Amino acid sequence: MSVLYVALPVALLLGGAALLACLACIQTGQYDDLETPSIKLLNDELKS
Amino acid sequence: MPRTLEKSKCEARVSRPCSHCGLPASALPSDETAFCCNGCLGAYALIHELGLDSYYDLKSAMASTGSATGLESVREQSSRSHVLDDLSAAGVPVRTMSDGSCSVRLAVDGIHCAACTWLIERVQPTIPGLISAQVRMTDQTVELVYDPSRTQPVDISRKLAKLGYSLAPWTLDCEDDQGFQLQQREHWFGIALAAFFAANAMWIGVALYAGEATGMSLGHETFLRWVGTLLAMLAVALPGRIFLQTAWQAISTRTPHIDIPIALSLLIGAIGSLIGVVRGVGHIYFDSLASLIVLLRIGRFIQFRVQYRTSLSLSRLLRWNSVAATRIEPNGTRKTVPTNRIQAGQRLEVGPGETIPADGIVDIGKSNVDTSLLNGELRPVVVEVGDLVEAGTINISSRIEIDVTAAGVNSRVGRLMDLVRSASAQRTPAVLSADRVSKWFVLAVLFLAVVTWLVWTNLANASVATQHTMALLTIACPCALALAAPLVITVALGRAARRQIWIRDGNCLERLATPGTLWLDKTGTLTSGRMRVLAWHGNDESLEFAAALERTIRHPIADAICEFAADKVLEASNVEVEDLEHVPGRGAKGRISGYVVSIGNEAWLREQGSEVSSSWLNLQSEAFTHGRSVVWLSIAGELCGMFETGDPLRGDAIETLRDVSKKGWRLGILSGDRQEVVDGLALLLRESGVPIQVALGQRSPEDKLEVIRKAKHDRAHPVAMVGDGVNDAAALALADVGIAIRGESGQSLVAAPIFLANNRLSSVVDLLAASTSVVRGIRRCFAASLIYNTVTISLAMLGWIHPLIAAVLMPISGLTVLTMAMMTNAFPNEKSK
Repeated sequence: MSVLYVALPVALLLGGAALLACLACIQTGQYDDLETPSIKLLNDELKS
Repeated sequence: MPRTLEKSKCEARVSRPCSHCGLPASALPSDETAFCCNGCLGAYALIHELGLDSYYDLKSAMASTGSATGLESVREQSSRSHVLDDLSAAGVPVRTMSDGSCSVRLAVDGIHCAACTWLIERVQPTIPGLISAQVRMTDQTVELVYDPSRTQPVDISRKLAKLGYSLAPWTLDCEDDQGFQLQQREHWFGIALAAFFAANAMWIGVALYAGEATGMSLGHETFLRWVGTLLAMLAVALPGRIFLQTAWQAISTRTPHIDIPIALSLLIGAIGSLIGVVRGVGHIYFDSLASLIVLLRIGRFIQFRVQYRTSLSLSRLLRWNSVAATRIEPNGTRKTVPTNRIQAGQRLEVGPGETIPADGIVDIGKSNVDTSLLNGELRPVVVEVGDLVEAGTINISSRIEIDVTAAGVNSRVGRLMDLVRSASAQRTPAVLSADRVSKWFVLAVLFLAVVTWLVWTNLANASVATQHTMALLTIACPCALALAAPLVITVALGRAARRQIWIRDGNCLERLATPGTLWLDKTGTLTSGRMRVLAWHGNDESLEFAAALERTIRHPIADAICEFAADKVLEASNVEVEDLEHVPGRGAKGRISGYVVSIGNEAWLREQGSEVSSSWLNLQSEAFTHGRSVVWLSIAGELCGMFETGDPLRGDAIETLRDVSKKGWRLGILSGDRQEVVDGLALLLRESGVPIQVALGQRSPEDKLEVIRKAKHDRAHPVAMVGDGVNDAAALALADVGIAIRGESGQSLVAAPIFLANNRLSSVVDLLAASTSVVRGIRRCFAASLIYNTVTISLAMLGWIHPLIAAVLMPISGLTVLTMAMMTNAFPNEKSK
């Protein structure tokens, strides 16, 4: 069971990496406008 | 008011939806397309030319969710675009990118639905030099990235204006906009961090509970406890910090705030867990703590968005004013300048159909001015040399030159905007049920904590007592209280938006639940806001003459008569009008087929030598008691007809008001129009069974504000106001609940906390019903939270509480609130029609 001492920090590190990725997305403005992109998606479908 | 309706001149026409915007339009039965105005015709042609026909498919696909009102006003767009000639002069920041292209954010007027977004962005490839055009729906702006050597914003704006979207400088400070983006990112950061800590703390919690049931080594247990507590500490220190900060501020200013109990729970939970983990004994609550912070951060984010929308609507109100003006330079040349550069002492030229950009004295010319924006009076006012004209009013009939006396913020309308701002700042925020309840909640919990500690010290020892007290304080979570109201209201706001009722300030919904006084503006709110012929005493033949003469004049009553004639007379003769003479404020005359035809008021007719018999005068005085205006017609000196004109009630007005008064509301009319007209309307309403308590006329915007201020002295009953014009803006902002309605005049007002974009007065009834269900929903959530707290607090007082129970009950209580909020039946889905 002593694998726990390694597995837990590793799990937290992996989660932390995902968190950093998410924070980077926020920083670059991907979350600034959540309304318009949903509509644009619709538009592209109709274009084809 | 400019005439947009083309008067029909030929065979029988049928009414069909406009091919572009869907408004009713007249067309020949053989026509494939129909247009309500030239603007739509132009836009339709342009869309074909650009090969964007699928716009109409998209539009009909979106019809269920978006507005289909389409183009409203195409006028002034060409003149507006001049402002964009010199962006730096208008104070618009243009960013230059590293590759030499420029980027600018401009406000777009007329965005209604997804189709608009699509159309604007599809125009991009057709304009050489325009690199991208990104529309942002929330604040109705577009970001243009262009190559300055190949195109300029003014060219882009001309192209878009043809489609019916006018670009204007984005008046909200660029810094404000960026500040919002940064704040919003901060909220997202907080939520992401809190969610990370909570998720990890929770699985560690699960491991601990499982270990407790199946047995695990002390080493593992201690390790898990340390890691879990570390995560919870980070959650409190990073995303949870704002609660501690606001609570500290609230304590130092001695104002009760919901954050005080929240901060208290967080601190006690954190300190308790920390003591527990260091000493290796006692319960720790790190998982509950972390999940509490996520839920709270989400609630805070929702509140932030709602607040931002409120501030945004204020800046949008000021946007109408950003029109270009024609300045006459000292050397006599004319120059187009942005309105914000006009100063007192300058001379301006105002053409027919243009908005007067500043307060001033008429120097040359004589015209009719539509002052409905400022006082709701539809009958134009005659201005001559030496008269004062005010910014925001519309010059109707002929070119005038004015000497500016006050411009911008110093003009009457500018001061009015100031009033709106200060009124909305002054508005004492309603003490919300959540805040009221939370104050008692904190007191009760603290009292119970003291009782628990005392009882357990006597029963056992101080250490056991401390442990149980800590459990109680941690688990007595005001989470449901903090979340319930914002959640219920947000759900209602979303549903309302689907009906095109835009609610910026959700607290308004809570205020509407108790009946109070509803003040209604007249022009454009109770009435359609347009002059119509309500009755015609005379024969059809003479009507043709009247229409022929009136067609040559720009005047709301003339428009109304032409429209009336077009509806009634099937075949309009193509007649020439000679010797035309038009005296603003009196009437007009001209020679048609050899007869002298004159139209005007009584004095004008007598001046032309017509006799007005007493039976006609009786008819006239009867029309006056109903608040109508009378226009006479004489042909060859013989009086042969009388028009009763007025502003008809909205179709849904009587039914709506009846329903509203049935709910216990008192009704009052508050108008800037003449007292006779207001009295006439009140009479008409009372005759149809609507109990109008007060009918006040001739109230200036400042007077309206005063009436609302006085009415607000009675705190128990809310004061609501429905209005549509800038003249109501200050009153709407001060009222407990201000409801703006989109008027037909196109001057829509978005500054009020509630905006009825669907132009239906009956939505007021929906709002009242929704507010009852919102309040009921909030109470249900409170009840659930109360039951939860009673159970957990009793368990804690008995000393039976266990971190596992806390960990299970906390999310459950959050989820219950969430489910109950979603189930609130405010604005139920559209009834089947």
